[in-house]
Amino acid sequence: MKKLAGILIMAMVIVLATTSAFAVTNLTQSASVTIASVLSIEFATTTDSTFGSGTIPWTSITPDSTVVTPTGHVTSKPDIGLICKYNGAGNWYAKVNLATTTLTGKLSRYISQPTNRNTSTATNGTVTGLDAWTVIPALATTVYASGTNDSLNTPLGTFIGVNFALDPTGLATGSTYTGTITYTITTTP
Amino acid sequence: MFKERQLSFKSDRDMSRKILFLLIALTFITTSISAIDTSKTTNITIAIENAFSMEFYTDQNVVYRDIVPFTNVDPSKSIVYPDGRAEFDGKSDVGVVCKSNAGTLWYFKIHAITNPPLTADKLQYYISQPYDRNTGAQADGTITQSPKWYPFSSTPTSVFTAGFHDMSNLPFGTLITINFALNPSGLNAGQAYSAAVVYTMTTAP
Repeated sequence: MKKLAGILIMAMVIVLATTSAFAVTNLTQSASVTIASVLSIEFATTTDSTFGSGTIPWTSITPDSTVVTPTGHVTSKPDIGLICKYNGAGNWYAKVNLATTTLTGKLSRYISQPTNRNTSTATNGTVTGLDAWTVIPALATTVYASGTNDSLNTPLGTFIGVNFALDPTGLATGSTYTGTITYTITTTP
Repeated sequence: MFKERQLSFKSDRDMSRKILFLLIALTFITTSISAIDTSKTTNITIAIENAFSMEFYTDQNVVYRDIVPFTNVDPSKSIVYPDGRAEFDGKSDVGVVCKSNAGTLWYFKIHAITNPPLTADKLQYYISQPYDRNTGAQADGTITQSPKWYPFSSTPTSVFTAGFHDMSNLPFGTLITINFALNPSGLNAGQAYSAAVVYTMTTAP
């Protein structure tokens, strides 16, 4: 009788011990994030521009005008489109220049107000010579300074449409001329 | 008295609650756009063709273009002018713009093709110093004859020789204005006559 009583008591003690506490553990992990700096310029495709990234031609000009648009120019889209992207602080600037030995002062550009591709609305940046034919110089010169609504414009960037015109007066007949237009995005005014 | 026993738990029993916090590391895609390209270039090519052309010109003082009419001519007169015209009215009958970027000497010639009794010499022309349309001043070329009435020839006759600025005169060219007159003597009343005036721009003297 005594032995039985002793065994019973032990069993009861064991049960109570296993249900008296709830274990809680925490596991933490640190997250680190690095955002790459973005300052880039790329050509729009021929969906949004006439010539994309290709050569711009003036073919078989009979120069009886001072404003000759490229061969194949259409009015429904710009000759070329620049997509400028930046995610830093401050403004960015788009610059254009023409490298040539024979066409100095002969090539002009026409730029209307750009579009923020993230919002599909006009930017509030500043176009130098907005909606006017402006001669492209030999030195890189600002054509657009970003505004408050497109200085930080990732992921889709700002679209700048550019049209070109040639003044062929004084160019020799039966000749072919070439040049290179350079577009630059920079944070330097 | 209880002996101590090592107690162990298996996760699948879960007789007590376990709370495990796991912070999932945030991953940002940082490589979709890389700041590599800061400039792009476009090549341009331009081919200039030779320009050597003529075209008719009209404005408020240049009256006719393709046809110069002499209607209801009085055959008793020795000279008549086209319809609506009078001598010294400050206007011209026809204007021809000559354009060239060849940089070489060119000549402007005229002649008339007629059918008798209307002969070429019954038609007359009057040409004064042409104008450089790029500057608005008189052209630096030379008219062959002093300004007065001359009968047409039936073969091309030079009436103007280009000057230095005429040789490359784009984009607007050199404007030559011509007046016409008709000597109707010998023409039959009640008859209609026609003639063709031919203008030639050429580098051949």
